[in-house]
Amino acid sequence: MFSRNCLRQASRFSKSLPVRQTIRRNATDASKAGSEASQPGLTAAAYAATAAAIASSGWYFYQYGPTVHALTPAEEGLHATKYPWVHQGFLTTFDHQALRRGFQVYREVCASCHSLARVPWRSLVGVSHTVDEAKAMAEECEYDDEPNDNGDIEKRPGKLSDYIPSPYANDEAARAANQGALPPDLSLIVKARHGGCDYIFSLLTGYPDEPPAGAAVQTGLNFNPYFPGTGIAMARVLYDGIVEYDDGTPATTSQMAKDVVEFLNWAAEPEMDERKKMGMKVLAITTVMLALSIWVKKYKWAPLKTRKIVYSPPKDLH
Amino acid sequence: MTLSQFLSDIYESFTVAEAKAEAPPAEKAEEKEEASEDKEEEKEEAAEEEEEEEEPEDIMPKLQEECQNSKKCAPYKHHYDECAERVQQWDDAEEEDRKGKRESCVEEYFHLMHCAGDCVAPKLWAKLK
Repeated sequence: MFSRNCLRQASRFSKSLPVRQTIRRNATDASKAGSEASQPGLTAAAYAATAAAIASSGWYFYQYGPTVHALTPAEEGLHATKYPWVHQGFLTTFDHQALRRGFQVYREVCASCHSLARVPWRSLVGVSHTVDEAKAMAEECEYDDEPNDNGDIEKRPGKLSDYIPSPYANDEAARAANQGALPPDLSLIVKARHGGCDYIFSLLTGYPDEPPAGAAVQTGLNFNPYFPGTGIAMARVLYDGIVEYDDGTPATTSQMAKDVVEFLNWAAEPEMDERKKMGMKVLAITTVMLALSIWVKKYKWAPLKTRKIVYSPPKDLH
Repeated sequence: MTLSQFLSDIYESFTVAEAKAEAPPAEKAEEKEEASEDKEEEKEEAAEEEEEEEEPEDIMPKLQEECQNSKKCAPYKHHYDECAERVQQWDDAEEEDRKGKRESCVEEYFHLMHCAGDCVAPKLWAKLK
C-alpha cells in the first residue's frame, strides 16, 4: 500500500519537473534584471562589508597578533642545539665506557666545585667501575664515624655505602668560596635544566674565545650564549687534554663534555637501562598475550560461529 | 626515530653482554701483563716522544668555523659581521659623533650559532667516541 503511494507520488513529481524548470528559468531572468537595477546600493554594501572585514581583522591582529616576550633573546639564552645522543633511543642503553670516562671527568674537573650528593659509591659498581675500584675510591675519602667511647666523632675511610663527598660543607660555604655564585648539585642536573643533555653539552662547549661584539659582560662573569642572561659565573673548565683517559680516548673538549654529560644523565636516571629493558619485556609479553588471546577467541567462538540455527515448523496437524 | 633504527635497537638489546660488578680474574690479567710488558717497554720509548708532541685537538671549533662559513649560514654570518662592523665604527668614532647607544650583536650571534649548531651536531657525533 505504502509502496504504491510512493510510486504514485514519484510519477507525479516527474511530471511536474518540466514545469519547475521553466519556473527556474524565469527566476534567473528576473534576478538578472533585478541586479542590474539595484547594483549601486549592493556594490557599495559589498565594498563596505569588505572594508569592515579587513579593518576588524586588522584591529584584532593589532590587539592580539604580536606575542609579547617578557625577556629579550639575550636574557632567554640561546636554545641548545639538539645532539643525536646514543642513549636517548627507545631501546638503547648508556655507553658504559662513556660513563666511566665521564665519572673521571667529574672527579678530576667538576668535583672541585660541584657536589654529587645523591650518588653513593655503591651505585657505580657494575655500572662504570668494579667493586674493588669503587671501594678504593671510597676509601680515599674520609667520613664521620660513630661516636667513640668519649662521645667524640672520629673519621673513618669511606665505604661503598657512603655518598660521594661534597666539596663544600653547605651552600653558604660554596657561595662564599665562589664569589656569591652557588655551583649547583649535579646529581639531578640533567633533569633539572630545560634541554637536559643538550643544554649541558652546549653550555660546556659553548664558551666563545671572546664575547660577540657589543655584548655586555659584567665583571666576574663569563659570556656563554646558552646560559640564560649570557653571564655565567662558571668559567670555561674543559680544555683539550685536561684529563688523561684510561682507555686512551683523546680527551678533547667535546669528548669530555659528551662523556661527562652522559655520566650526569646516568646520575639523574640510573634506572634508565633497567627501565628500557622493562619496556621491552612489556612489549614482548603483550604481543604474546595478544597472539594467545586471538587463538583462544578463535577456539572458543568456533562452535558458535559454525552453528546453524534451523527452524523446523511443526507439521500441519490439520 | 626510523623503523630501521628501532629494529636495530631490538637486535642490539638482545645481544647486550652482561655487565659484571667483579673485576675479571686476576690471573689472566697478570699473564697478559707479563706478555705485554716486553712489548710495552719497547713501545714506551717511542710513545714518550710522541706523547709530548701529541696534544689532542678538538675538532669542534673547526667544524663550527666551517659551518659558520657554509652557504646555509651565510645570511646569519653576514648579519653578524655587519653588526660587528657597526659596533666597531661606534667604538672608533669620537664621542660627539656617536649616534644612539652602543649596539649589542648578541641576537645576531645567537642566530649564527643556532644555525652553526644544527650543522655541527651530526658531524661532531660522527667523530666522537
